[in-house]
Amino acid sequence: MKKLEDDSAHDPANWMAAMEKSLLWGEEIPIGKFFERTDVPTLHGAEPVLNEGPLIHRDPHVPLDVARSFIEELM
Amino acid sequence: MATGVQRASQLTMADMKGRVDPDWCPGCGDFGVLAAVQKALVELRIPNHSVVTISGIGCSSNFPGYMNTYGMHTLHGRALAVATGLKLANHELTVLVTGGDGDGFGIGGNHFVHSMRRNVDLLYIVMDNQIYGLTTGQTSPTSRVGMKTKSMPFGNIEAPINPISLALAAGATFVARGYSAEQKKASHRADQARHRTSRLLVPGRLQPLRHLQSRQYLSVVPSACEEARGRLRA
Repeated sequence: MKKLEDDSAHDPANWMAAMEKSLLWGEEIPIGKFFERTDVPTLHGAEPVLNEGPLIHRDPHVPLDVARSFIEELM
Repeated sequence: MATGVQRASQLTMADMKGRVDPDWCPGCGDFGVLAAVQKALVELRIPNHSVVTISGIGCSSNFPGYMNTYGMHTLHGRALAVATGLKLANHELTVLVTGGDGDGFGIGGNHFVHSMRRNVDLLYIVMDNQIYGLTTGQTSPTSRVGMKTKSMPFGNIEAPINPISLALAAGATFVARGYSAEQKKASHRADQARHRTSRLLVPGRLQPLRHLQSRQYLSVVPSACEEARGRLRA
Protein backbone atom coordinates (compact mmCIF):
# COMPACT_ATOMS: atom_id res chain seq x y z
CA MET A 1 0.00 0.00 0.00
CA LYS A 2 1.13 3.51 -0.73
CA LYS A 3 0.16 6.50 1.34
CA LEU A 4 -1.06 9.43 -0.70
CA GLU A 5 0.37 11.78 1.91
CA ASP A 6 3.83 10.51 0.94
CA ASP A 7 3.24 11.38 -2.70
CA SER A 8 4.19 15.04 -2.98
CA ALA A 9 2.80 15.15 -6.51
CA HIS A 10 -0.71 14.25 -5.39
CA ASP A 11 -2.98 17.26 -4.97
CA PRO A 12 -6.27 16.39 -3.16
CA ALA A 13 -7.89 19.39 -4.81
CA ASN A 14 -7.36 17.84 -8.26
CA TRP A 15 -10.44 15.78 -9.08
CA MET A 16 -8.92 14.18 -12.19
CA ALA A 17 -5.83 13.12 -10.26
CA ALA A 18 -8.03 11.64 -7.55
CA MET A 19 -9.98 9.68 -10.15
CA GLU A 20 -6.77 8.31 -11.63
CA LYS A 21 -5.53 7.27 -8.19
CA SER A 22 -8.86 5.60 -7.47
CA LEU A 23 -8.27 3.18 -10.36
CA LEU A 24 -5.10 1.78 -8.82
CA TRP A 25 -5.56 -1.65 -7.26
CA GLY A 26 -2.86 -4.26 -7.47
CA GLU A 27 0.84 -3.76 -6.96
CA GLU A 28 0.00 -0.32 -5.65
CA ILE A 29 -3.04 0.38 -3.51
CA PRO A 30 -3.27 4.01 -2.47
CA ILE A 31 -4.59 4.89 0.99
CA GLY A 32 -5.19 8.34 2.40
CA LYS A 33 -7.04 11.39 1.21
CA PHE A 34 -7.93 11.18 -2.48
CA PHE A 35 -9.98 14.32 -2.81
CA GLU A 36 -11.37 17.26 -0.89
CA ARG A 37 -13.22 20.42 -1.79
CA THR A 38 -14.80 22.87 0.61
CA ASP A 39 -16.66 25.24 -1.71
CA VAL A 40 -19.85 23.20 -2.02
CA PRO A 41 -22.70 24.09 0.34
CA THR A 42 -24.08 21.32 2.49
CA LEU A 43 -27.63 20.17 1.99
CA HIS A 44 -28.84 21.81 5.18
CA GLY A 45 -26.78 24.93 4.45
CA ALA A 46 -28.47 25.31 1.08
CA GLU A 47 -31.98 24.94 2.49
CA PRO A 48 -33.27 28.41 3.49
CA VAL A 49 -35.99 26.94 5.69
CA LEU A 50 -33.25 25.81 8.07
CA ASN A 51 -31.65 29.26 8.37
CA GLU A 52 -33.66 29.93 11.53
CA GLY A 53 -32.21 26.86 13.21
CA PRO A 54 -32.92 23.14 13.45
CA LEU A 55 -36.46 21.96 12.80
CA ILE A 56 -36.39 19.95 15.98
CA HIS A 57 -36.43 23.11 18.10
CA ARG A 58 -39.50 24.56 16.43
CA ASP A 59 -43.17 24.21 17.21
CA PRO A 60 -44.43 21.50 14.84
CA HIS A 61 -48.05 22.57 15.35
CA VAL A 62 -49.94 23.18 12.10
CA PRO A 63 -52.94 25.52 12.55
CA LEU A 64 -56.27 23.84 11.84
CA ASP A 65 -57.22 26.24 9.05
CA VAL A 66 -53.90 25.58 7.29
CA ALA A 67 -54.39 21.84 7.59
CA ARG A 68 -57.92 22.16 6.20
CA SER A 69 -56.71 24.23 3.27
CA PHE A 70 -54.23 21.49 2.37
CA ILE A 71 -56.96 18.83 2.55
CA GLU A 72 -59.35 20.86 0.44
CA GLU A 73 -56.68 21.48 -2.16
CA LEU A 74 -55.78 17.83 -2.42
CA MET A 75 -59.22 16.25 -2.23
CA MET B 1 -18.22 2.38 30.12
CA ALA B 2 -18.99 5.84 31.35
CA THR B 3 -22.52 7.03 31.79
CA GLY B 4 -24.21 10.37 31.62
CA VAL B 5 -23.18 13.51 29.80
CA GLN B 6 -19.43 14.05 29.81
CA ARG B 7 -17.70 17.39 29.58
CA ALA B 8 -16.06 17.62 26.17
CA SER B 9 -12.69 18.52 27.66
CA GLN B 10 -12.75 15.47 29.92
CA LEU B 11 -13.67 12.85 27.33
CA THR B 12 -11.70 9.63 27.29
CA MET B 13 -11.83 6.50 25.14
CA ALA B 14 -13.79 4.80 27.93
CA ASP B 15 -16.52 7.43 27.60
CA MET B 16 -17.04 6.43 23.97
CA LYS B 17 -17.44 2.71 24.60
CA GLY B 18 -20.92 1.24 24.46
CA ARG B 19 -22.56 -1.06 26.97
CA VAL B 20 -21.78 -4.26 25.09
CA ASP B 21 -18.54 -5.57 23.67
CA PRO B 22 -18.25 -6.26 19.93
CA ASP B 23 -19.08 -9.78 18.81
CA TRP B 24 -16.93 -9.54 15.69
CA CYS B 25 -14.64 -12.44 14.83
CA PRO B 26 -11.19 -12.33 16.44
CA GLY B 27 -8.83 -10.36 14.23
CA CYS B 28 -11.60 -8.61 12.28
CA GLY B 29 -10.67 -5.19 10.93
CA ASP B 30 -13.84 -3.69 12.39
CA PHE B 31 -12.14 -3.49 15.80
CA GLY B 32 -9.56 -1.12 14.37
CA VAL B 33 -12.21 1.11 12.82
CA LEU B 34 -14.21 1.26 16.06
CA ALA B 35 -11.14 2.30 18.03
CA ALA B 36 -10.15 4.85 15.39
CA VAL B 37 -13.58 6.49 15.40
CA GLN B 38 -13.72 6.61 19.20
CA LYS B 39 -10.24 8.10 19.29
CA ALA B 40 -11.13 10.75 16.70
CA LEU B 41 -14.21 11.82 18.69
CA VAL B 42 -12.16 12.11 21.87
CA GLU B 43 -9.41 14.09 20.14
CA LEU B 44 -11.94 16.41 18.54
CA ARG B 45 -13.68 16.74 21.92
CA ILE B 46 -17.08 16.05 20.49
CA PRO B 47 -19.36 15.20 23.43
CA ASN B 48 -21.31 11.94 23.27
CA HIS B 49 -24.70 13.60 23.46
CA SER B 50 -24.11 15.53 20.24
CA VAL B 51 -23.24 12.43 18.19
CA VAL B 52 -25.57 9.99 16.44
CA THR B 53 -24.24 6.78 14.94
CA ILE B 54 -26.47 5.25 12.27
CA SER B 55 -26.12 1.93 10.48
CA GLY B 56 -27.90 -0.54 8.24
CA ILE B 57 -27.50 -4.31 8.47
CA GLY B 58 -24.37 -6.43 8.61
CA CYS B 59 -21.42 -7.14 10.90
CA SER B 60 -20.11 -3.60 10.66
CA SER B 61 -23.62 -2.24 11.09
CA ASN B 62 -23.56 -3.41 14.70
CA PHE B 63 -21.29 -0.42 15.21
CA PRO B 64 -23.83 1.89 16.96
CA GLY B 65 -24.27 -0.68 19.74
CA TYR B 66 -20.59 -0.45 20.58
CA MET B 67 -20.58 3.33 20.80
CA ASN B 68 -21.74 5.43 23.76
CA THR B 69 -23.59 7.88 21.54
CA TYR B 70 -27.13 8.14 20.31
CA GLY B 71 -27.67 5.56 17.63
CA MET B 72 -30.04 3.94 15.19
CA HIS B 73 -29.72 0.44 13.73
CA THR B 74 -31.90 0.83 10.67
CA LEU B 75 -32.97 -1.26 7.66
CA HIS B 76 -30.58 -2.97 5.26
CA GLY B 77 -29.04 -0.35 2.98
CA ARG B 78 -31.11 2.52 4.38
CA ALA B 79 -28.71 4.05 6.87
CA LEU B 80 -27.89 7.03 4.64
CA ALA B 81 -31.55 7.77 4.00
CA VAL B 82 -32.29 7.81 7.73
CA ALA B 83 -29.17 9.85 8.39
CA THR B 84 -30.19 12.44 5.82
CA GLY B 85 -33.57 12.87 7.47
CA LEU B 86 -31.97 13.11 10.89
CA LYS B 87 -29.48 15.73 9.72
CA LEU B 88 -32.26 17.85 8.25
CA ALA B 89 -34.29 17.56 11.45
CA ASN B 90 -31.37 18.63 13.64
CA HIS B 91 -28.30 19.79 11.75
CA GLU B 92 -26.48 20.64 14.98
CA LEU B 93 -25.79 16.94 15.57
CA THR B 94 -22.65 15.15 14.40
CA VAL B 95 -23.89 12.28 12.26
CA LEU B 96 -21.77 9.18 11.69
CA VAL B 97 -22.95 6.44 9.34
CA THR B 98 -21.34 3.02 9.33
CA GLY B 99 -21.81 -0.11 7.26
CA GLY B 100 -20.25 -2.61 4.95
CA ASP B 101 -19.80 -2.99 1.21
CA GLY B 102 -22.92 -5.10 0.76
CA ASP B 103 -25.10 -2.78 2.79
CA GLY B 104 -23.71 0.41 1.28
CA PHE B 105 -22.96 -0.46 -2.33
CA GLY B 106 -25.45 -3.28 -2.94
CA ILE B 107 -28.71 -2.83 -1.09
CA GLY B 108 -28.04 0.86 -0.43
CA GLY B 109 -26.30 1.75 -3.69
CA ASN B 110 -28.96 4.26 -4.67
CA HIS B 111 -28.73 6.12 -1.35
CA PHE B 112 -24.94 6.12 -1.62
CA VAL B 113 -24.94 7.99 -4.93
CA HIS B 114 -27.58 10.52 -3.94
CA SER B 115 -26.03 11.25 -0.57
CA MET B 116 -22.83 12.16 -2.39
CA ARG B 117 -24.43 14.55 -4.84
CA ARG B 118 -26.52 16.20 -2.12
CA ASN B 119 -23.47 16.83 0.05
CA VAL B 120 -25.22 15.79 3.22
CA ASP B 121 -23.11 16.86 6.20
CA LEU B 122 -22.24 13.46 7.60
CA LEU B 123 -19.36 11.03 7.88
CA TYR B 124 -19.92 7.73 6.07
CA ILE B 125 -17.52 4.95 7.01
CA VAL B 126 -17.69 1.83 4.84
CA MET B 127 -15.96 -1.25 6.19
CA ASP B 128 -15.26 -2.85 2.84
CA ASN B 129 -14.15 -6.47 3.16
CA GLN B 130 -15.37 -7.47 -0.31
CA ILE B 131 -17.88 -10.01 0.95
CA TYR B 132 -21.13 -10.48 2.85
CA GLY B 133 -19.56 -11.55 6.14
CA LEU B 134 -22.55 -11.73 8.50
CA THR B 135 -24.20 -14.34 6.32
CA THR B 136 -20.91 -16.28 6.29
CA GLY B 137 -19.53 -15.37 2.90
CA GLN B 138 -21.43 -14.49 -0.27
CA THR B 139 -20.24 -12.40 -3.22
CA SER B 140 -20.66 -8.66 -2.64
CA PRO B 141 -20.55 -5.68 -5.03
CA THR B 142 -16.83 -5.24 -4.35
CA SER B 143 -15.80 -8.91 -4.60
CA ARG B 144 -13.01 -9.34 -7.14
CA VAL B 145 -13.51 -11.35 -10.33
CA GLY B 146 -12.62 -14.97 -9.71
CA MET B 147 -13.09 -14.75 -5.95
CA LYS B 148 -14.65 -17.98 -4.69
CA THR B 149 -17.53 -17.56 -2.27
CA LYS B 150 -20.44 -19.63 -1.02
CA SER B 151 -22.72 -18.05 -3.60
CA MET B 152 -20.15 -18.37 -6.40
CA PRO B 153 -18.09 -21.45 -5.58
CA PHE B 154 -16.49 -21.51 -9.04
CA GLY B 155 -15.43 -17.88 -8.81
CA ASN B 156 -17.12 -14.50 -9.18
CA ILE B 157 -17.94 -13.65 -12.80
CA GLU B 158 -19.18 -10.12 -12.08
CA ALA B 159 -16.97 -7.03 -12.28
CA PRO B 160 -16.76 -5.20 -8.95
CA ILE B 161 -17.66 -1.56 -8.52
CA ASN B 162 -15.00 0.91 -7.47
CA PRO B 163 -16.39 2.84 -4.45
CA ILE B 164 -13.77 5.59 -4.60
CA SER B 165 -14.40 6.28 -8.30
CA LEU B 166 -18.15 6.10 -7.76
CA ALA B 167 -18.01 8.57 -4.88
CA LEU B 168 -15.91 10.99 -6.91
CA ALA B 169 -18.18 10.73 -9.93
CA ALA B 170 -21.26 11.28 -7.78
CA GLY B 171 -19.86 14.50 -6.36
CA ALA B 172 -18.49 13.58 -2.93
CA THR B 173 -16.54 16.45 -1.37
CA PHE B 174 -14.20 14.39 0.80
CA VAL B 175 -13.00 10.95 -0.24
CA ALA B 176 -10.41 8.90 1.61
CA ARG B 177 -9.37 5.29 2.09
CA GLY B 178 -7.95 3.99 5.33
CA TYR B 179 -6.55 0.70 6.47
CA SER B 180 -8.04 -0.86 9.56
CA ALA B 181 -4.71 -2.18 10.80
CA GLU B 182 -3.51 1.41 10.98
CA GLN B 183 -5.73 2.93 13.64
CA LYS B 184 -3.71 6.09 14.00
CA LYS B 185 -4.01 6.94 10.33
CA ALA B 186 -7.65 5.94 10.15
CA SER B 187 -8.42 8.09 13.16
CA HIS B 188 -6.56 10.98 11.58
CA ARG B 189 -8.66 10.61 8.44
CA ALA B 190 -11.88 10.56 10.41
CA ASP B 191 -10.58 13.66 12.15
CA GLN B 192 -9.83 15.33 8.83
CA ALA B 193 -13.22 14.51 7.42
CA ARG B 194 -15.06 15.80 10.46
CA HIS B 195 -12.86 18.73 11.32
CA ARG B 196 -11.90 20.25 8.01
CA THR B 197 -14.88 19.69 5.83
CA SER B 198 -17.68 18.13 7.84
CA ARG B 199 -18.75 16.48 4.63
CA LEU B 200 -18.82 13.02 3.21
CA LEU B 201 -16.06 10.59 3.89
CA VAL B 202 -16.11 7.45 1.79
CA PRO B 203 -13.34 5.13 2.70
CA GLY B 204 -13.21 2.04 0.58
CA ARG B 205 -11.29 0.47 3.38
CA LEU B 206 -8.93 -2.46 3.14
CA GLN B 207 -9.81 -4.88 5.81
CA PRO B 208 -7.99 -8.01 6.87
CA LEU B 209 -10.41 -10.91 6.86
CA ARG B 210 -9.00 -13.66 8.97
CA HIS B 211 -12.00 -15.79 9.51
CA LEU B 212 -14.01 -16.20 6.36
CA GLN B 213 -12.20 -15.42 3.17
CA SER B 214 -8.60 -14.89 4.04
CA ARG B 215 -7.30 -17.03 1.20
CA GLN B 216 -9.34 -15.18 -1.37
CA TYR B 217 -8.32 -11.91 0.16
CA LEU B 218 -4.70 -12.98 0.10
CA SER B 219 -4.95 -13.71 -3.60
CA VAL B 220 -6.26 -10.23 -4.26
CA VAL B 221 -4.09 -8.02 -2.11
CA PRO B 222 -1.32 -10.12 -0.61
CA SER B 223 0.74 -7.20 0.59
CA ALA B 224 -2.15 -5.67 2.48
CA CYS B 225 -3.16 -8.95 4.04
CA GLU B 226 0.35 -9.94 4.99
CA GLU B 227 0.92 -6.60 6.62
CA ALA B 228 -2.32 -6.90 8.52
CA ARG B 229 -1.53 -10.40 9.70
CA GLY B 230 1.88 -9.28 10.88
CA ARG B 231 0.42 -6.42 12.84
CA LEU B 232 -2.28 -8.57 14.37
CA ARG B 233 0.27 -11.18 15.45
CA ALA B 234 2.32 -8.42 17.04
